[in-house]
Amino acid sequence: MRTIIVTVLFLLLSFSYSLSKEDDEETLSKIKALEIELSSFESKSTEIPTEEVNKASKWIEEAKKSFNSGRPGFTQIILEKASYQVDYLNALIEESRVKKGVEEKKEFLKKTRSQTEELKAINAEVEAEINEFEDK
Amino acid sequence: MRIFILFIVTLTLASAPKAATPIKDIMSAYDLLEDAKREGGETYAPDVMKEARFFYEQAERELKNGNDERAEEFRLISEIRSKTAISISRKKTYENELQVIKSQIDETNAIKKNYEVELRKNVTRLEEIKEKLAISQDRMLSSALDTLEKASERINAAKDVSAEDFNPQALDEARQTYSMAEENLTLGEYQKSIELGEKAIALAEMAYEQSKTKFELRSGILDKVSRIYGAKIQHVKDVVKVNLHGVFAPSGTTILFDAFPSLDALAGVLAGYSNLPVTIEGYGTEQKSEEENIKLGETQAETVKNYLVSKGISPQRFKVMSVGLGVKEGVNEDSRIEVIIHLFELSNT
Repeated sequence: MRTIIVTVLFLLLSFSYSLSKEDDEETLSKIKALEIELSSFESKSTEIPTEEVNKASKWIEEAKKSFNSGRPGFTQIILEKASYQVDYLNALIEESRVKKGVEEKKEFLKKTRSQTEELKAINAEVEAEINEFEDK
Repeated sequence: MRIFILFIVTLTLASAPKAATPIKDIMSAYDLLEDAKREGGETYAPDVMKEARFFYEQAERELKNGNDERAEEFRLISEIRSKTAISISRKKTYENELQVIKSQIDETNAIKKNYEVELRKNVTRLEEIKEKLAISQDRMLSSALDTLEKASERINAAKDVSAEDFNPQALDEARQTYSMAEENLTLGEYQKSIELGEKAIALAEMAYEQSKTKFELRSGILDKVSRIYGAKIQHVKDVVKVNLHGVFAPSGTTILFDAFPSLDALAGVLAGYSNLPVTIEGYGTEQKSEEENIKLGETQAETVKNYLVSKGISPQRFKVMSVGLGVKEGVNEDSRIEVIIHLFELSNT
């Protein structure tokens, strides 16, 4: 009986160990992916507030520490938080991109309006000259 | 496996030291949720808003259960999602603004294009007008030059018929007008130049027409009188002067025999121009006094007149006078008869 119990416990532990090893690899790969994505922000945009990038960076580091301390559950939550932060940074980049587009288009509209006014004025001058000649 | 992980996470959180999460921090997550709503999160990022609310509720629940650390994590995640929703909403607002601006750009571009088309059309029209005007100016210049050339010809024609003698005023006026026309041509005032040129032509033609008859008359008379033997011919303006020497002996009053052919020839010329008045002037000699010369001149002039009348010339045409001592232009030409033929016609009365 004792042998049976020991065997079952051993099997359970072995199964649990193999599951835990699989999860560890997944967590590490998530951390790696977030690190890569975060590093891309640093070169991608200067529009994002540094403190927000730093937060993500800090949380990834925290997740790493937590992982090394053998706290997988807490690591998952911190990773989820860091992942949402990265998502937020992406949203900020998109917002900034569209905002920039708006500013560029506004500038373009202003320039086009100015050119239109200029054309209008030149046209009026030409018409006045035509009228002057026709009056002669 | 997930159950196992959740189990591990729950265990970890439960074993973690409890950090104090003040109510005001939870309220900050609530405030951000409200901000996200105001920014239009429910419309533009409903899924993200749902997550933000979910994590906020989780945070509240965990706080009630005394799980401060979990509450703090859920609060942070809720805030991140709210901020993400705000950012997405702002992006959507910018996109909407972008659409409005794009339509304004399209509208402005359409107006601009219209002005461009209109301007191109007007510039072409202006160039055509300028071209026509240049052609017109060229024509005007050419016309002005032609008019001036014609005026010059007419003035020369008037000069050729001695308009200076017969109608000097009209000729002078024509010349002055011609000069003004030339000045206007230099200034580019072609129309004015043409008008003045035409006026100069009219004046020159008038001078020509009025002079031509007298010129022809004078030319005819000159041609004829120049054939009279011994006669010296002169013409001044509208008179022809025929000077005859040796008609009388120096102090005599009888026509010399040799003078008859000349007087006959003169009578022939005068007969050909029956309407022209004639003045006969007698000149004296140095050998006599002034008083005697006056008398002598008168007698001699009268004698010539009578002779010419005897040859059929009307006495009404004549006027006789004595000049006295015949000194003319510094040359002493004494004892001579000057017959002056006037080119204006006698009036019938």
